[in-house]
Amino acid sequence: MRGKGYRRVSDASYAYLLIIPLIIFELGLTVYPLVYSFWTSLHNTNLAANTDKYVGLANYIHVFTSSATLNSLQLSLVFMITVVISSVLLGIGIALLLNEEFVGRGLVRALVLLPWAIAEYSCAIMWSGIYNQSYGFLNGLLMQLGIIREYTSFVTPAYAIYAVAIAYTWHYTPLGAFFFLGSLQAVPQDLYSQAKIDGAKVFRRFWVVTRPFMRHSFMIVAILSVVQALQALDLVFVMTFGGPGVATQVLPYLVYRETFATMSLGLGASLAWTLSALIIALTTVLFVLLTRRR
Amino acid sequence: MTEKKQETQDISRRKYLKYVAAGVVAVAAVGGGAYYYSTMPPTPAPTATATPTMTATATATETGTTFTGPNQPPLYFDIWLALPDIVKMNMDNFNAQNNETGQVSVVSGDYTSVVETKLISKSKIDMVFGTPVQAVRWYKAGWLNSVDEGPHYSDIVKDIYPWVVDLMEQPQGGHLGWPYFVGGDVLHTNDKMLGQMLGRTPEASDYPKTWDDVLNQCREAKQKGLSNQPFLPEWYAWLGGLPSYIQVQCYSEGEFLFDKNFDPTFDVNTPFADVLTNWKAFVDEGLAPTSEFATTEAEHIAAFCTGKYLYSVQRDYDCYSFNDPTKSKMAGYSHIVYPMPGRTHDAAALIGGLFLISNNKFFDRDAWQSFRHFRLIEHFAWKDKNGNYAAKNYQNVFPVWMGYPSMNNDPATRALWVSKGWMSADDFDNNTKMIEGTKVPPVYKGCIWFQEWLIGSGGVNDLVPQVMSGKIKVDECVTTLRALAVDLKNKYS
Repeated sequence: MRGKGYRRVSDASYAYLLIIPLIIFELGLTVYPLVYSFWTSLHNTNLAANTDKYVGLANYIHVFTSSATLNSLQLSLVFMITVVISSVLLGIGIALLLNEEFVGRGLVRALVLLPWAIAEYSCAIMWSGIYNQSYGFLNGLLMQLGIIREYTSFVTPAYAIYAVAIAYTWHYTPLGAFFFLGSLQAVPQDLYSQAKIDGAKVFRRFWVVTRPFMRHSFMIVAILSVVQALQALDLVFVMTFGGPGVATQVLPYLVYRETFATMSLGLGASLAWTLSALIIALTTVLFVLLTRRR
Repeated sequence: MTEKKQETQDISRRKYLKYVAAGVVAVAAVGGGAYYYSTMPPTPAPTATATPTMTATATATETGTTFTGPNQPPLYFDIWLALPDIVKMNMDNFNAQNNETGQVSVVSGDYTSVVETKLISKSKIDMVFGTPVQAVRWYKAGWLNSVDEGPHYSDIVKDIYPWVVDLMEQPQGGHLGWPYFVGGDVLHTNDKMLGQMLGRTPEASDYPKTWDDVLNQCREAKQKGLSNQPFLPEWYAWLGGLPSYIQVQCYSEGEFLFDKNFDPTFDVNTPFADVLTNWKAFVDEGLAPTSEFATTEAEHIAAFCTGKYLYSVQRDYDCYSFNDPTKSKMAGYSHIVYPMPGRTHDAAALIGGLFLISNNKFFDRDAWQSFRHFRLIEHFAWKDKNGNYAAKNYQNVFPVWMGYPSMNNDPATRALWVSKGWMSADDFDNNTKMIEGTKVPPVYKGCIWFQEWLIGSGGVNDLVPQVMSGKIKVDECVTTLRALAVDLKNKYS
């Protein structure tokens, strides 16, 4: 018979007790910086001017009324929509192809994953070279094919954001493709046979048989794409440095510039919080829409 | 529905408290240890020599007071990625000659941001690189030490270009640092294409005298089918690109942008507007690629090496690449235009990089530690213990001009650079003359917001490309930049 001091606890409770120190550690590394960042966003903290004055919501008011921020917000949304739509559609297409039986399928699957495996920085360097107006691969190819008669610029103020979005899509699509491929592997083949017997054509079979199985992977890929696209900084920084002018100055880049180039920590923090709120809002909407049952 | 019996375990209060205490201690030990080692410098090893003080160990010499003592902790020099082998060589020489413990570490990525973060957080950082527009801000923030207290300050002042001393002088007192090289943007030629255009070997008298001459010659080159876009402007968004180029062309037109009180001297009727109008003409006539606004310095250099352009504004030392047969299609045919095209031909041969030491007071250094820091910067920026310029090691491998007339007028350096094919003898002489005749723009003497005016939100980097793309007019750009300058001056005063 056990003495005093002993009591029964469940496995789950025991596990929680053991990870309490880790939770405390995590609170220090994550929660404290978040709180401090929000506190900074309520101040006019500028290291170059040596100021640190409490200004309340003035930074947030500046964020929502400044033309630079509105421009960056617009660019971020354009970038995000372009990346999400193209990476999802391409991802589905690649997954459907990789789901077919053919010789060398394993090798092709490995090669398809390569763009995702390359660091974003390296991807940016590569695409800068591809787009280069003086000696770029794309210009050379189009010239050889007779599509253009002289080298041209692909990174113009009007189209630079799309040029960067294409590079980002190239980098990001393989991840989505493999999520979709996983879903396709779960589809029972006899469903396709039955659909064929019923006279369903290719698209109808995809819509009725394949699509329902891809619902969850579609949700995951869409949400991940939105988050990643809205946070993209490395590619923009290396490819265009926010230029030409402000043509690719997406929100993360504006956060970087205000925080590190002009040392306005308060404004930079408020921009970062605004970006976070946007990401949370969009992913919440997506989650609700995609998990809604009929 | 079946009930799932939950598995349970016996746990005593004592056991639980033991586990939690062990976890907390472990976390505290790891976290505290990491904090300690990241912020505390290593304790100097005790030696037989007593801790030096000014009175105990100071020795008067011909050149000034010297100190002795234990060379700890190590001196940390964080460098950007430019000829790191040469920097390492100079540090090894410094260590050997002074029995020192200096260390070099390369900062990859955004050098300025990394260094600023380290300076703000008082990390162990002793010497850094910087450009004048950055250094002015760091100096004002109290993170840098003036070089005036160095033991060889007077000797360096006598040896260096007077305009360097003038440029380094700050309104609150003291001098920022010492240059590790000087030089600026110049107009490079492609004489291969120019020769085809003229139908003969070009001479110096064929080079443009004004920026309109550059425009006209580019028109001719395009008309003759020699190049689709003959002019390659230095428009990339880094600090050394568009912000530097706009100063180069403005200064060459006699427009220094700001007076000594940092009030803007430009408006819609001054050369600043003429410069933008000149650039717009290049764009409107298809003579210059607007994609340059989104390139990098490396791509800008590589582009001119393709030989497709007639003229380009680049760093003076980039003739090294343009005349390299392994990299350039016009090797041996690229020269520097002298004098700089423009109304007044004033050259902006400014300081490309500075050696800067962190503030001795900010880092609580005693007299001995302060002396070690001055010894470090003076070794790198001036001469080693044997009386040799440390920067000579740069000049032996790369055509960079230095802040000392004796170095730039050295016949051996001239012969070396010419023999390597980096430039002609005339180019060497002409660029040296441009550097000697440099005028100091008033805005470089203490204006902490100049960098923000150039690359900050709504600044030069944002607005000028919009003029070139036709989104805004020249007058609107000039007016907006003038208003921004006034706002920034008020914000920081």
